[in-house]
Amino acid sequence: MTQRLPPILQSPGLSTQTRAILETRLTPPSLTFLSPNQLALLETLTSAILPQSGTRVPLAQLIDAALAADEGPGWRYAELPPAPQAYRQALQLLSHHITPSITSSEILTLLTRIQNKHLDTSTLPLSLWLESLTVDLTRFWLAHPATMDLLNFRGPADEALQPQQPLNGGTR
Amino acid sequence: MNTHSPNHIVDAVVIGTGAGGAPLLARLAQAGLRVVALEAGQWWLNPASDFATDEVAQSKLYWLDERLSTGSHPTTFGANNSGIGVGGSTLHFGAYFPRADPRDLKLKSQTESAHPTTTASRTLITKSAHPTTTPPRTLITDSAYPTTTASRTLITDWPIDYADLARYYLEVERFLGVSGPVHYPWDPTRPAYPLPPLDRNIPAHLMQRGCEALGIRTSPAPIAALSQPYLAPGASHRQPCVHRGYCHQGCRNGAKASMDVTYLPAALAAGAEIRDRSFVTGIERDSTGKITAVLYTRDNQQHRQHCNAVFLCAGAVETPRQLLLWNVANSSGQVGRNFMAHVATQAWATFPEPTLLYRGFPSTLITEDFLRPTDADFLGGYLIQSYGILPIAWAEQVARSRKLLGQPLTQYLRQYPNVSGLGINGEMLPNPDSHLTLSDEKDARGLPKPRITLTLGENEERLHQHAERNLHAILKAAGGTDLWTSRRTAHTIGTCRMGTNPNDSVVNPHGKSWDIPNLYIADNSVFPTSLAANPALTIMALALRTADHFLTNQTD
Repeated sequence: MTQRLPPILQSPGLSTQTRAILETRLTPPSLTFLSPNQLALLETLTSAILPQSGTRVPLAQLIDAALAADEGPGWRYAELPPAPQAYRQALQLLSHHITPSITSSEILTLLTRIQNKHLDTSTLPLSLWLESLTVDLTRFWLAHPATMDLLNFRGPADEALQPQQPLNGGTR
Repeated sequence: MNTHSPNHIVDAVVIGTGAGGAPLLARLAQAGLRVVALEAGQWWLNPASDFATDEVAQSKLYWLDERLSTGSHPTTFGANNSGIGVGGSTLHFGAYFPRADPRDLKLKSQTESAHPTTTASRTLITKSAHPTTTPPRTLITDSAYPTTTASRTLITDWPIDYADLARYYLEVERFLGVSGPVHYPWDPTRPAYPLPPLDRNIPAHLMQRGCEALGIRTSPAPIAALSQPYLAPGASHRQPCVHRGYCHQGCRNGAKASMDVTYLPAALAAGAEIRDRSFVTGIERDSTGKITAVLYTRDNQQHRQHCNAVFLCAGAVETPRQLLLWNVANSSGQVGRNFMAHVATQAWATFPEPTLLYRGFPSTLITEDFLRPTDADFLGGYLIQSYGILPIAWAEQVARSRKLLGQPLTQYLRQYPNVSGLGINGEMLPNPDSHLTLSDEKDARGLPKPRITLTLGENEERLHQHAERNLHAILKAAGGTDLWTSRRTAHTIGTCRMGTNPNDSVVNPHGKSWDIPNLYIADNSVFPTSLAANPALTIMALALRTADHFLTNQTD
């Protein structure tokens, strides 16, 4: 299979270590934590929360792999169980609400209800879980080279910057 | 690097190598003391190749052992509020380097001396209002201020004066090569900064445009990064900023004055030893209560370093956590109390022109016009900074605060090339409902995870609303549309406050434990109140002051 390299990875401005990291993101992760059914449900949710056009980043798989590796951000809401447990419990609970025939507008209605704390319980404040999930999704999406290209984001290409180069803001 | 045998008794062990530990280590080593620093994290010896230009990969600079966050406004840790590695959180700090305002050090006595109807008088420094007597604790009766807050706050004056800090501020600014203006608009007595201002990025230009339209004064911000090559006495030669914009991901060329390229090389040159990947697990004491050794793990092995004194400089989360684990220095019951975080509201807007948020130093403009606004209905004040940001950090604000779902979320994230923002750093009054405790849950090391409760009061709410109005006005005046607010907090402050009374403070005004004669604390945990200023400069100044006190009083 030949895949054209995303333009950001063709930039000569990437440092060796930055290029290496961006390249690893082209390969979908292999670690799994969730069951196939849970993963399918998570995929339904992720495409409803952050629908992609122009990119096809495997967001649910990336989250699954992070859960398998138990990679957290260094904190969590004290009201939520540890992330792997929170994801399993939340998906279990949502499996009762999300049927195969559910429409995307129905999912959005459900998500809005979650956001407004209507489905919160004392052991699982689903609104906080949804907030954490949304943060995770935006992170994985924006970290992908394809999304960098979509946003014409050239931040990583810093190798040849010099102090005397003016910032564009100087002309205002 | 000089090395010491763990079996030899060194003069001092310094725990943590960030804004507190690093200057202190250098000072002690330069005085000829045998000193060892224990740092939990890695030593990044080659930032140019160790640091990727990538937000996710550089989370290796954050403290990733899980913390539990709760309260009315749970604060985020990880990227926002933590650090690990030789250099501590200065490895990824924004290097925004304002001094504390003198009025912020005496918030309590200022408040009590202010007349309810003449708010203008509050802009004066009334140092001599209470020269000898300590004012009673809860006498905030000014009806202009929220009474519910006043009765709940544990507001106090700093036990030191601005003059105690000023000479250290100057010393730190010169050693680090801080870039800034010649004349600081809000402090006519301040000397010119050592280096000219850094180039302003586009968010700074937009803030300036908006402020000019509204008659708000601005100035290039003091930034602890080089606008020109710099060589401070005792330090290594450093190159200027190249505007790559990944300052929060670790500076690759040494332009930013993180501790690993400033105070720590100076400490090493003077004979200090730094042991990286060394996680402190306990102490040993003699029959008099003095600490005789620090216990730590390195490469899965237990070690013991004998010492004559200990300086705990692990920050306002790990410092109280260690003390609670050791079960010492807490006769006041104040360890972990008075946790504070700055009110750090941000506002964002969309502009017709590209904003290049990812290039240039992130925050390069400041206004201190709101440190004591005349129309304030709250105590204290805030500073406003321009805000450049990288996509993932920005998207986190969007996800947490703007609450978009579906296509609106995707579409808004795609606006990143055209958004720009402003943020504040505002006073949070200490209160009894904000604190750090040890939870029942254990981390991978088998130690209890810290549980941090942050509850904001009416004063913080009013300050936030005042700031939000001004941030929006500035963004609109600059041509911004589609405005929204990110409600957030930043920095970890308090938990081991310094004071003059052993009953309600953990350390004395020099950072020395009331309970253990050879234990000192030098980091943001000793701050009695939050100050509006970003904490790094004040942490460094206090650390040098503590070191000097120790050096002149070693026979204590």
